[in-house]
Amino acid sequence: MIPTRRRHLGLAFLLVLGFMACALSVQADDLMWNGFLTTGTAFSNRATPYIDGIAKEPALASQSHLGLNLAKDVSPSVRVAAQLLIREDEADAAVKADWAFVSFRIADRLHLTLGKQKVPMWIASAYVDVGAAYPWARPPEEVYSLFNLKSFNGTSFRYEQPIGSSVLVIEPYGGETFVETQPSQPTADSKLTGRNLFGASVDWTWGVTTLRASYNRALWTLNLGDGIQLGERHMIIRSFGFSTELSDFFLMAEYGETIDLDENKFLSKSSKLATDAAVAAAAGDKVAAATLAGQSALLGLRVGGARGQYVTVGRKFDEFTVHITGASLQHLVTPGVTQDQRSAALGTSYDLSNDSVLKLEAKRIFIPHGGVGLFKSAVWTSELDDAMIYSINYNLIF
Amino acid sequence: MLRALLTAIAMALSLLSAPVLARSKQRIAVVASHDSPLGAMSAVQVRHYFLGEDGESANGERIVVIDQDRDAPIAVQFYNAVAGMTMRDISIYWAKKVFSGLGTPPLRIKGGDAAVKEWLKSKPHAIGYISAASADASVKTLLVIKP
Repeated sequence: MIPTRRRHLGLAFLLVLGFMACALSVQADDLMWNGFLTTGTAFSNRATPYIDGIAKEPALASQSHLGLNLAKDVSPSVRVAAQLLIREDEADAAVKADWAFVSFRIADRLHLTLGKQKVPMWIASAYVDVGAAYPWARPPEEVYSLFNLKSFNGTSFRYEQPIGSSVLVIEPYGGETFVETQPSQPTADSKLTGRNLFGASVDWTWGVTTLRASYNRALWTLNLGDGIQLGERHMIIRSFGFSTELSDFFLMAEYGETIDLDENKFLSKSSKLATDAAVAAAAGDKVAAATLAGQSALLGLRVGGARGQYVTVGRKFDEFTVHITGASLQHLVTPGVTQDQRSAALGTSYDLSNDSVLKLEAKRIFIPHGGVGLFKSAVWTSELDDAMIYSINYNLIF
Repeated sequence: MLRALLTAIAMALSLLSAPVLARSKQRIAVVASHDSPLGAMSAVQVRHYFLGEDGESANGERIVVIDQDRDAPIAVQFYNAVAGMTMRDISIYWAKKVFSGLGTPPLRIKGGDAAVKEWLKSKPHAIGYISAASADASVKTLLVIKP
């Protein structure tokens, strides 16, 4: 109860602070304050919980968060910026730095950035928490939840090269990251640690059309909590994206996949442990057999091999925007169990003002037999077939 | 069936959101202080400055940009003319840049044309926009945007 109360108090405090900042127009020549509020509810018509804590009972979506952003140009070539974030699903009310960095312009079109930064993985990665900046109630989880990597501590370069009427942006980066896998109930072993992390994104924009590609590689220590430890694995995450507008219509599409370079090694270990378990069982040692079988099952879980994609088509009608999004995810977790799912979402948003928007979205999810999709279930049940997720969101920028 | 339903929804939404008032348009002047070293600008240059795509003049001077209140009709017309964007588009555009740490929007000044002219007086490398009818000896006109 206390953590919950603290969380709500923290949210309320930041809400008040945010509106004060808005009301007082806290803005000076050299120090800029901005903020955003993304809140709402999402619920399903199934008892089995869905990803991001979405359940049958409507509750504040785990995407509910409040952000405060401040930036200062220390000199014409040096900028210090930070974004503070409080999320509804955090275990305590602590305000955390979403990112905080210092950026140097070291040449005409080249910037060097040091600090905690967003990983430029997806089209909306840099502003994924700012609901007002994209058309969905929630970014398609088939892609945006493919791997829980959002930020890193390290160094990045940003180079912008005009090519005719287009601009090519290349952003290589490197560093390390720590990801809490159970934000609401963190434990010592609920951490993903990514070391030797490096990657690059390339954006090519001409007018309202952007093509992008991203590559990321790291050595991950995968501790998922509840004793689930998947060892150290070299992982690659790569993505491709496209967005464009034509008159009042817009189109967005992204594809992403994860590759576990150590998968064969772990599957081999798993197979050996399964053999050992069978030998132990044959010898009548049930305890050893169960332990070995459990270890075999853990090491046999496939972390890589996940592929997600979506296509969004939408149209703006003055204050209204309507979109249809088709998405799919394919991920063989272990023989007989997949996270495969397909979905179709119909969403609409209404601009209450230039800086605030109300969104409604209904998403129908199809899960093939043998799959669990992104539901929190170990095995397929008939209940998972043909589920609906409803979202209502209010997004504000101030 | 689905297509017919979506068409019906789209038509209904379109009717609901149809503009009910036509706003009168005016000539807009992009201006600097009368003693500014800045020279004439193209609409493309102005767009680059106001969208934060460029922050320097041809001579390497850092340009400071000031904006009018976003609810002001002149702001709506200005951004539509130089960037083809609505104020909602502008809001989303800056949200993406600001919350990515890639830029900050122009300083907004309340008080209309008079406040813009007053603010520009002491800043030779600053630019703003006002109604062309308000442009007087206190400012240098860098570009005139016709309705």
